[in-house]
Amino acid sequence: MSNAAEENPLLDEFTRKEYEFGFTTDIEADKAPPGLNEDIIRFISAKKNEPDWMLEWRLNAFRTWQQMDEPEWAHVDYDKPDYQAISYYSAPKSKAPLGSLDEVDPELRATMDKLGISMEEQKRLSGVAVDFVMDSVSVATSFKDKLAELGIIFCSMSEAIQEHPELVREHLGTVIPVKDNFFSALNSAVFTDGSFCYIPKGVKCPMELSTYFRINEAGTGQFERTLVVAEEGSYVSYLEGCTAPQRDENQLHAACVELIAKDDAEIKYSTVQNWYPGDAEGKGGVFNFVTKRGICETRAKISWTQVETGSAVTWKYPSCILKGDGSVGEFYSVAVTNNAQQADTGTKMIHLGANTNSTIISKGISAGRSQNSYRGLVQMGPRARNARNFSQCDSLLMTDTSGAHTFPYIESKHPTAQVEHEATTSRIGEDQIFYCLQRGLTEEQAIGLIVNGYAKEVLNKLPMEFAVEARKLLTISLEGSVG
Amino acid sequence: MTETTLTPAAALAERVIEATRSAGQVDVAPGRKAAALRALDQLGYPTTRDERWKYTRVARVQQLALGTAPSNPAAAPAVLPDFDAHRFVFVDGQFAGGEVHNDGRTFIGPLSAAVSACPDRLTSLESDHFADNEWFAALQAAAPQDGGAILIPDGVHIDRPILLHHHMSAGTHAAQPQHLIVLGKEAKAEVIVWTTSDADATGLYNGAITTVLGEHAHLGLEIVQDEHGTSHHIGHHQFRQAASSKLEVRTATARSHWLRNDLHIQQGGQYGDSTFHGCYLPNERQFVDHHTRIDHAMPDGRSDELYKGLAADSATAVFNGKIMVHPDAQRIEAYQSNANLILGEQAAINAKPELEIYADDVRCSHGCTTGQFDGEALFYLRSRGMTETEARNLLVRAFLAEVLDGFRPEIQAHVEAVYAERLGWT
Repeated sequence: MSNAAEENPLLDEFTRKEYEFGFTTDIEADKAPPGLNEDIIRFISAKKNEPDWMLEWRLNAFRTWQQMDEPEWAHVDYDKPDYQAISYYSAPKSKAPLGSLDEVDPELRATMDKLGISMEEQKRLSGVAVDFVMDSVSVATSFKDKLAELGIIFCSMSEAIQEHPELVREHLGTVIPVKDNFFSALNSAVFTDGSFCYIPKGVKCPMELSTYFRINEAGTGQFERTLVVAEEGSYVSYLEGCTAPQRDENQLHAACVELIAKDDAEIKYSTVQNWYPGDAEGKGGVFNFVTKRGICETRAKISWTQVETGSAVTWKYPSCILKGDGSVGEFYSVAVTNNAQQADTGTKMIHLGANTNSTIISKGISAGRSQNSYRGLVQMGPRARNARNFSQCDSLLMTDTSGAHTFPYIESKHPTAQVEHEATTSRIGEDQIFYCLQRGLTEEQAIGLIVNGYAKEVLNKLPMEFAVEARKLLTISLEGSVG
Repeated sequence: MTETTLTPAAALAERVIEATRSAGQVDVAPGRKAAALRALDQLGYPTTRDERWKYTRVARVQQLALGTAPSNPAAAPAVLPDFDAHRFVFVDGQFAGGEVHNDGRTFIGPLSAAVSACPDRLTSLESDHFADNEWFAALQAAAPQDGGAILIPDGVHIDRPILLHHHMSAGTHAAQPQHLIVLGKEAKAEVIVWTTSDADATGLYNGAITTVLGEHAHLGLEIVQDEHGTSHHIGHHQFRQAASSKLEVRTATARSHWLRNDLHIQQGGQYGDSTFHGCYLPNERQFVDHHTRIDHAMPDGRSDELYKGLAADSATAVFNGKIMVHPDAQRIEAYQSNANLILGEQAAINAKPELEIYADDVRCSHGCTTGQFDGEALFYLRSRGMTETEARNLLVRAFLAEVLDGFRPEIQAHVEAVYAERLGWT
């Protein structure tokens, strides 16, 4: 490593590059004592003034979780968090209910500005409705009224539990059952907030819906729960972004995202994940253990796009259950790891219905001494007549100390189903860089150009506002990291 | 003292070790044997919860009422009778015929004879990656039976192919043959390992092929699995390659009831070259599982992997290939390709082509496809006057040709004939 740094000052510069969003915000917070037991769950539920069924659901999840073991099959290596040392509830102290964004705590407003989500601006210019979740609690949702005119519900999960309990109760946990995995069970027990989105039949949501997540308090974890329900023939594009302050400890982020696309509906879900990755030595950083899954009814479509640049350890497999005939699932991913980061990410495409179609494009970029794995499952069920899948997983290695791995699982039970998988691994081409240098670009620009070109297929799928941010992130994450 | 009840796995191990003790067990590699006995205790019996056995159910192997092999089994059927080769036949893990060649330098014969003739040349059996990590390999290493020993010294080329034929006789018993192939520097040999079984064989074949290649050595190995019985077959095939050695392994699973092959190549020297191809075509309710792994531990290696297969009726085929490039193993070129066709409504294919890469100056790729016949190709052939069956058969042959063409013509013809017979081709 040190050799590489001497040889390449750019690499050295980058490895010392600081995490831009590492500030903390000094806001008074309501925080539960560390530890996890039934009392804490009752405390969370009481804090949120939840109905009894919700409390029961949580307690049931907690009991299930206690019976489960933390998964060890992923290609990552970390010290398991002490689940009793985490505080499961932390909320910025709210004063009175907020009437408008102007009443938001000025400190919080400043945080949002630093994050580049100037709500005011976005509100006016880009027309993106934003829900902002700090630590565990949703603090602001913009554009609510305008969406309400169309019958769209876009609010925090706790608000949804209060105001639309029937919708939440009907759909919550139907795509990701409580006992699906260790982290989803944990999330089901302790989730504190998140976003809820409901698009009525036939409505095309006129603007991008967006949620920003931020872990602020020390010693807390973030456990948000997002539920998007798109009724028949509706359309919604949903964006998610996340950051966390720079801390020496490992913070846990265990979220669940459930998408439900009914007949002919379409959900586009984009994520730019930029949790704090830890320092160059691998100290600190967020453990990002996320369960994301969508279910498609007849002719419905779910498209996952993710740009993963942050987190110390990522364990994330946004998946599609293609239940209805003719439904479509897509997964576009760029995962960048640097320094000591580890990522094990990919997707599952479960083809149940006939004529279902899925596409997987995954681009991994490994730098520093990071490990980047693609793990995916394509399953063709016995009813998946004429189902199609195409997967492409490419890995780009920037240094001789990083690793790139591919673990695809292909299970086909129908003779007419077609599955194609291809993967390549190679180094960033010296001749390509040389060519660019010769044309007058700096090495940084050359790498930025090559990497952005390499990831273009995925970046193109992002909505405009995010694409700009993602490109910037990619370039920042990889500047001068050729070893 | 209370009587301890054995777990089903421990009971199985005990049955196999006991039954083979009186029949052909070879006293070789004592260190490995001791380690294997310990490993048997420590390693759990594989279940579908183990990643490497996710698609392979071995629970029912524990239920096999394995007894001792018959003392006078029927003779093994002749394979490729007109083919000129050094031939050695083994039945149920016991040497059953073949002319030992031993000139003091080159030894070609059964392992049991090598143990008395040149025990010091069998030490390469001691190091065994599988036996340390896999329950069935540990079982095999704990009680190895007789197999071929091919020990070729530096610079010697063996021009005549060597055919090691193992036959399982009728009945329910275990066979655990151990083949050992050691090629010295610049040595060269062509070996065929052929397994057959009686139609009434219902036991367990748990055999190993251990191969060590010296620098610049060249081994061509063809493995043909043509078993009529309903026995369970687990094969442990491991290869260690020194610098600049060349290995070509081709495996044809022509006929089998339930079969699992574990193939592991370690390139321990620079400029290693490995080619490993395979084909399979299970039908009815058969099960075929090919697990392969190549470790590029040193720089400048090359590997070419190609596995093609079809699953007909209600059969299941599994392919799991792993390319592992170790840190500092730069300038590796590794290619892996796996193509599958599903012919039956109830058939299933499970494939897992993996890449694990820890060096950056590499060119590695894998491709994997699963599908059915190209409707347009079928239509084209039919429009040229072929019946649907003829057209399908032609397409199956064409599909497998890429792998089968690599075998010597005699074997290619045999495997094609077996496939034709099994699928009812005319």
